[in-house]
Amino acid sequence: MKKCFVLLLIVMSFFSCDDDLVSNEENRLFDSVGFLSNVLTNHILPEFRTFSSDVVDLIEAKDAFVVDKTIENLLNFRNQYLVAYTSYQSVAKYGLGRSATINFNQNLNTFPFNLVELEAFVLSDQSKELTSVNTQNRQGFPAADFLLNGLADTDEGILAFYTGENGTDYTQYLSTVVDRIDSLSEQASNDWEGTFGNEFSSDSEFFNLYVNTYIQYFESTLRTMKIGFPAGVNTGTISPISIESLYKPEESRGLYLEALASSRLLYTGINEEQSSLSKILINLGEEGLDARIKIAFLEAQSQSNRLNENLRLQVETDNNEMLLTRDALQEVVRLLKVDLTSKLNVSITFQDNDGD
Amino acid sequence: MKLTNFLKLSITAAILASCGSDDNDAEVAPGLVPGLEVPSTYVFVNEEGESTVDFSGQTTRLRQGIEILKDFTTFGTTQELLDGKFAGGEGFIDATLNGSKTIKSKVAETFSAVNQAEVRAVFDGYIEDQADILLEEFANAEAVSVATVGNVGKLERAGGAGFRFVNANGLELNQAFNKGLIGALALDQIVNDYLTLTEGVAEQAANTGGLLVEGKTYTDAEHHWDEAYGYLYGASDEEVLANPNSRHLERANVVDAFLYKYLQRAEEDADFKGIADEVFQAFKTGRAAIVANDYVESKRQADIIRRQLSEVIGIRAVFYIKEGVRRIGLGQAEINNGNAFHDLSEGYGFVYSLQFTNDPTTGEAYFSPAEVKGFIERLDAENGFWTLADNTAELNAIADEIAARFNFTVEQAESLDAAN
Repeated sequence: MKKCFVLLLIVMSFFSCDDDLVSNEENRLFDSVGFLSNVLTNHILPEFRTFSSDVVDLIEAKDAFVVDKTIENLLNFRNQYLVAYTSYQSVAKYGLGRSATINFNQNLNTFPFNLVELEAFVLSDQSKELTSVNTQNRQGFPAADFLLNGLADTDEGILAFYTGENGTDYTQYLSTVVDRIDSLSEQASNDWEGTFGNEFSSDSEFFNLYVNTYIQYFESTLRTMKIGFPAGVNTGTISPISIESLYKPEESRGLYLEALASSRLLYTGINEEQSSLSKILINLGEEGLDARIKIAFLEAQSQSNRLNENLRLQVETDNNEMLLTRDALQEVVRLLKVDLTSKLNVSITFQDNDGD
Repeated sequence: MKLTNFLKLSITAAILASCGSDDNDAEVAPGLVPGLEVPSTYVFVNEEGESTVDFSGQTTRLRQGIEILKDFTTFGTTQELLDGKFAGGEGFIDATLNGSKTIKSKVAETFSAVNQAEVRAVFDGYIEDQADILLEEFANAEAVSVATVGNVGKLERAGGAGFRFVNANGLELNQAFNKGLIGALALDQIVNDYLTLTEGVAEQAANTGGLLVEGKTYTDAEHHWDEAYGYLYGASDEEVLANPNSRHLERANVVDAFLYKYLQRAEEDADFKGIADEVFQAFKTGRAAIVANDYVESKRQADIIRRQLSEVIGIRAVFYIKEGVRRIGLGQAEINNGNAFHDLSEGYGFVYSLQFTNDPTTGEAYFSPAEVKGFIERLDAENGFWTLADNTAELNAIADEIAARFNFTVEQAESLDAAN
């Protein structure tokens, strides 16, 4: 009889779980609105402002290059591109709100850049628009990387593409790529500065979505795309050409480290006073878990520092270091996705992509 | 997919009703879950009558494995061809097996990246070695010398039944590859990957909400469960895919070379008779539980599958090691005719597979990768099986250590009592 009673309880509690979810959100033991408002003020807005201002500089450098195609202007353009690509790493983890609807990250950073039938594409109308889903892998920073670093082996050779026979088309493609980075960034940034930012920072409903977005970014983009794919973790065969910044591979580790550091800072918070996921855990009496997460972040960072600045070279010469990095990142994923979410009563709403 | 209130009520009523007559606290028979409609075969359909079951990717990989195993003992096969099939999913004679699906991409999929790469390197190594020492080296079996201590060669089976080909340690690499993949591919995919995916909160919420995979008739959770099913039963004859035990439980009718084959072998032993049906019932019941959004029940069934299939690996590891010891004890002829080392080679592969098991009480493997590495080092020490043939105490010790972790004894696993 006892067994049946337990079974009945289980079934009953299962039936009522919908209602539980609602009440859990209302009765969180921490101030989720205060947290969200802190994330907006201390992370999202400053990071987006830096990025937007870097993109403005990028546009200026591009304009200067278009007017006067010199080596000097090319080098300046390339510098500004790297500055913007670096600050982009911080805003990539906020893929919600308008960023989600305009596919901000997919358009700005789908890599590797697709090379197939490139010349025909450059000469086509498509390269002057880049709004189609099919052109997601032909725009953004990876396209800029190719157009500024990868067209030829020398700066003179690269310049020749913009001054040669099809120079007008190449110039226009490059221009369109940069202009689109600008327009998408402006849309995302305005959204955070305006309506969506206000909603986000005043409605506890966003806590779930925010935590999910953060963890999904860390798992899918940081762990899998930047490290796992090149290291061949899924296929069992290394794929050196899957790195970020393929045409200037010596910058690949730098971009990745920027993303990792910024993700870590978002967890710990920028100073003692501000709310953060770390602070919430501590206030809940979960100092142990908080310490484990911090250590896992530090271990991931220190393992990542062992990598060659050129991740392509790292994969080709000693892939084991890449695998160790992937495992260190996975430890962070596990702690965030399983332990942190259970303490904070957050349900993971994104799914593992694994099927065939 | 959402349970209607009526259904909730009737389930509650069914439980209450069954409680009335439950004074003896009688055990509920496996697969008999109050209120859950479990079909007699693995057939699940939607309201339109369309099947919601699909595991073609698993069937493909099991068949790829079977073809690769043939190549493993076919002289003239190149490493390139084997690599192409194993890692690239290309070059199969059965053209339907060529494509994006590969075995290698699923080997040790649930391991950490470092451990996974290590395991994949072991399988790559079997391929490389087999091509190097035998397939690319010799034109045919006649050209291979008889194996001796520390030397690659062949062992001639009794009655003109052909040869066993062994490496310098007396190990048949095709057996190591085959039995190792039972753990690294089939078992790992079932117990650590797909069944676990059905336990994801997001997958369960989508299933409860009736959210179908785009363009498909099933939810992710249903599909993952079917994919687990496919890694065990996917190589069955098409007309019995939904009821494999009806045909393939006969030894002569086994078509699979991987996990199902050894579930069948365990079933043949009176000590484990019934295990094949228990696993099949658990697969059906768990799938029905997912359809009914009953994730407590589906987890319970998943754990039955985890425990039983993990035990199959343990049983066969012990069985083959003890068989090897027994044959060594019969005298030199059993080494010369390949029988003893053949058993040890199968055991070697099953021992390797132990690291992919899953003990549902802990969620961990019965043996860690480091522990398995320890066993393998003992099996590889000095001249491998040649050395162990003079030191069967070491083999017995390994068998004891394995059985001690499981819910069976060495005696049960080694006995050849035919099941009634």
